Amino acid sequence: MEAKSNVRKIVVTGVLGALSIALFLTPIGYIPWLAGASLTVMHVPAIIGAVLEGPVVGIVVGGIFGVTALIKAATAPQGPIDVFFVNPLISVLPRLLVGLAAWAVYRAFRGMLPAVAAVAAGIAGSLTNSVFVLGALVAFAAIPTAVAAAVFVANGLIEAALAAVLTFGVVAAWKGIESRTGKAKLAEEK
Amino acid sequence: MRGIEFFRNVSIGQYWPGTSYVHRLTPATKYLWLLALMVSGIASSSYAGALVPLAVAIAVGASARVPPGFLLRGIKPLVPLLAFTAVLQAVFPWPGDSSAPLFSLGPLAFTAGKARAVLMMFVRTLSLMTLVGLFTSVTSEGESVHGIEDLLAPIERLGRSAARSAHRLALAVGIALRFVPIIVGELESIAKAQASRGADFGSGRGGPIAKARAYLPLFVPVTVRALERAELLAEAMEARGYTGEGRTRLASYPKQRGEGLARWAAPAACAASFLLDYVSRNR
Amino acid sequence: MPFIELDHVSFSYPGSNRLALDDITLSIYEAEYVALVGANGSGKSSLLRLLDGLRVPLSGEVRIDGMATAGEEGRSRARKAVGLVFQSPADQIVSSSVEEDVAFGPENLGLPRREIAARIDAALAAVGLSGERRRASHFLSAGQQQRLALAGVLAMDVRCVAFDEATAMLDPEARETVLELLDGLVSAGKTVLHATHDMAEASRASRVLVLDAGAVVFDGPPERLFSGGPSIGAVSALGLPDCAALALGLGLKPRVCESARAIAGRIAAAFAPGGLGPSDGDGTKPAAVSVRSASGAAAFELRGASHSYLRGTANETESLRGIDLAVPPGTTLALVGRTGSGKSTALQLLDGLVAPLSGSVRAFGSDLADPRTDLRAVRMRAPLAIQRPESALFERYAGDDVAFGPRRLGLSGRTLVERVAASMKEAGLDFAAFRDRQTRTLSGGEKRRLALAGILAMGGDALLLDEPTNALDPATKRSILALALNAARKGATVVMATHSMDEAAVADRVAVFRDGRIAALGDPKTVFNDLFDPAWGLRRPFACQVAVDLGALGFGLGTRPLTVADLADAVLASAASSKAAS
Repeated sequence: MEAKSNVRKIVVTGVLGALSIALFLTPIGYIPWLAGASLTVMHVPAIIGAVLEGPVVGIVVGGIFGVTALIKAATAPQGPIDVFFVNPLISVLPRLLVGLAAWAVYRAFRGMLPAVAAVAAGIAGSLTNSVFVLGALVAFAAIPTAVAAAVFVANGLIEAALAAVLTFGVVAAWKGIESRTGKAKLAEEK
Repeated sequence: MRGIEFFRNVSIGQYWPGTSYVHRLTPATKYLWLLALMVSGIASSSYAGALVPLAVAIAVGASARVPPGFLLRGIKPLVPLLAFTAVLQAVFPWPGDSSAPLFSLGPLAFTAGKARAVLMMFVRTLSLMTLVGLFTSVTSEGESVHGIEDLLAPIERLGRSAARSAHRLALAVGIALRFVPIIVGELESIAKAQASRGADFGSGRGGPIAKARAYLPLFVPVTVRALERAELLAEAMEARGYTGEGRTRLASYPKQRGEGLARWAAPAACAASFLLDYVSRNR
Repeated sequence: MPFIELDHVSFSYPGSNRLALDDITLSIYEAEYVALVGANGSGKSSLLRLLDGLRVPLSGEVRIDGMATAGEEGRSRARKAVGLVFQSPADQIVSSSVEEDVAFGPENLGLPRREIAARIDAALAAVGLSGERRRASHFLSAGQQQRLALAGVLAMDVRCVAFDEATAMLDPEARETVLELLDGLVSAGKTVLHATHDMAEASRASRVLVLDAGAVVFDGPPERLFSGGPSIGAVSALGLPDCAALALGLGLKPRVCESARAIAGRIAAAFAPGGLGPSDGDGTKPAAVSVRSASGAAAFELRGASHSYLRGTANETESLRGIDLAVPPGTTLALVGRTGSGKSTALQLLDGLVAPLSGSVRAFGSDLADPRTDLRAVRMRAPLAIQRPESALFERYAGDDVAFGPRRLGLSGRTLVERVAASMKEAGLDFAAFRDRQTRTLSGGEKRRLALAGILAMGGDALLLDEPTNALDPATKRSILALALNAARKGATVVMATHSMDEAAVADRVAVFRDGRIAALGDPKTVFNDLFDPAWGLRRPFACQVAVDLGALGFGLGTRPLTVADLADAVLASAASSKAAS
């Protein structure tokens, strides 16, 4: 039923958008990592939206995330890099691409196991986030290219792995995908 | 403090209630101004051009009786930022930078080109910050959601499906704002449940890696719960007759006197900043 | 012509072989008040969703006003005629603004603005929320949110309102408010369908439909349901309302929705027909306070503990104001009080999940504010079962979820498997059958059991349970309560927050919370008799109230029963002894 799937898309967008915002407001959004920089998982809801409901949902959730980053940067910035996100070309535009990239990759891999496709989408979405945000920061003279590259290597790759794990976890749980053995891990305990 | 509590402040942006002319403008007009000045803020190439949003924001803020201290509270973090960025830029060479070095310390050089770029970045950032701060001060949550719909309303002429998109987007954003406190509460519940079984939250120990390992298992359950709630809400919405077609809307925003002029003034202000760019380039 | 008809309707959920509804034919007329009862999985929810066009029957036809609900037009007509209020209050609310949420339905109908505003006024007034019009919806209590959902439905001017276990998640007072609204709807001529697994609620209707495995096994007035016969079997799992159980236990004819006072009157008339002596208060002597003596240090101790939520914001609310509480080890303590009185917060303070603003907390002899105390160890020794089991489960497979805790304790291999199997068994889940089930696919009751299994698997000295029987059907409730008591029998300290005074009555001690303070603390008999204060906003356990009313009528019992069974025994004993005496 067309109406049914439309309502669901709207609500899923809203709920994943709320999740993105909530991740901003709570400690889980920023996972402290090495050298003071932190890993973020706030872009993962956009990836999940794209995988489960399609590109439009992914793009809008990404947009909600970006706008939240923008408003927070303008009213309550927390770190030195935070403030730059008042510029929507840095905060919003790259995040619109996250959902799009995730969906495109998911579609490309859909022929294979859904597990593989989810993981690939996670990686693609996260790399898109890293590359375009860092790129925009460099373009606006916020940070030098060398620093951006270092951050990408130190953070971006791990974030991509993390996004892959989380995307897979959610998609597997939601769609009821069985694990490789179809049994609990407990079955392996002797 | 040890203990698991996530519920700090659930609001983003700070609304400053008031009844000034600015407050009473329709949300669509406020969005127009925001977007127009944002373009100036991002795209200007001169200091003057980039300062237009700042100037407008302060002037409008004054007429809306928003305290300037409230509006400009973003300046404080900006100063250390400037220093930090300047240092970063000083340390790293820029490809293609052939401007005169102002200050050098061995291999590190802070050139005039870099100085201009950093200063420009500072001006731009301050300008945008104040602009966005002003917008959130004079626009309530309800207005910001309805404004999305109103702003995109003109695309209705492109066809029915386009019109529905404006409304759907607004509805999705409204639902997002509505669910934020619920999701934060859910995160807290899940954290407490997991802590009861040995996960390491808020016990004050563990370095960053341990903390990361502790917080990750929250993500999948909270997302799955969010999706479950989405299904329930979608059902409730359908039961209340939602089809996406043939809807009316309760909230209405009457146009103020001079609203039309105010709307045209927005792109005019943007044009003014580009004019200033042109003038300063060709002086 | 019937208002709503089901004509040989069968239905099953997509992907399931089992028929949720099996060839059902029934008619519902305008202005009827119908209760739909049945255990979980009996088909109540499916039936209601078929009426609204949310689900489509496998075979057969659903008709409203003689016209089928199939197809787009049929659905649209169905939704204008029938409104649904769902179980989870927060998951029906669309907007952050109360006013806008009520407007949602009328907006969908395409009504003009003025009409919408008028309907909002009327709907909010009907549910008693006119004062909250401008509030943010997330600040409403669960009961208020449920009334808001009802307002949203009423604003669509429906002729029938269907409630899908809409009272299950509410505290007794909120539940009563909603049930009174149902009565109001019926007097206003609306048709009301109330799906519930609470027989006392169902008795308020004029017609009861009992569903079992997708078929209607009873269709008639509630009186007929309690008078015995084959229908009793179907509802025995659900349990009779207390008034009916007591009446039957004493050989009296059960009456529907009988108040404690009314049945006390009947009992007095039946068992002391010769008239009663002058009333001497409630005629019972206070029982000797018998609390298992505290052997050594208390398992948990709160002193002057305070806490508030949303500190530093405009909406700061104090949840606890300086409470003192000591829980001796190996005892059971029930926490009762209205929603928002501080029970959950108190539970979370006990094992250090939340830190108090002021005052001190000691658990197992350690001060939890001391940085040297290993909070994680304390939490694992006194695990908390949170209110919503769905939020407590996070592994994909059930077996793994229970194993999470023991793994953190360092178990592995054979010992781990045995611990998990034992805990699941204790919680009523067969290990072999459930180990490889995906947690998402479990029913509400199964999820609750799994969450408890996970807590039991911690092998701790204490169990902290936050409303463990909430929203479960009566049979599961009894089973969960037995689980908790069993753990206590084995020596665990059990602290349980509950809305059911009958559950509280079986604990060693009861703490009554009111507005963030402890209003009373003692053994159940003392709390519900000597100390009882209507200002708490709570009711006595039914049997207790009847005993008090009997005492006021001069019918002394000599003991102070808390359960219906004890009360029946006491009445018979008292009648026999007075007969012997005369």
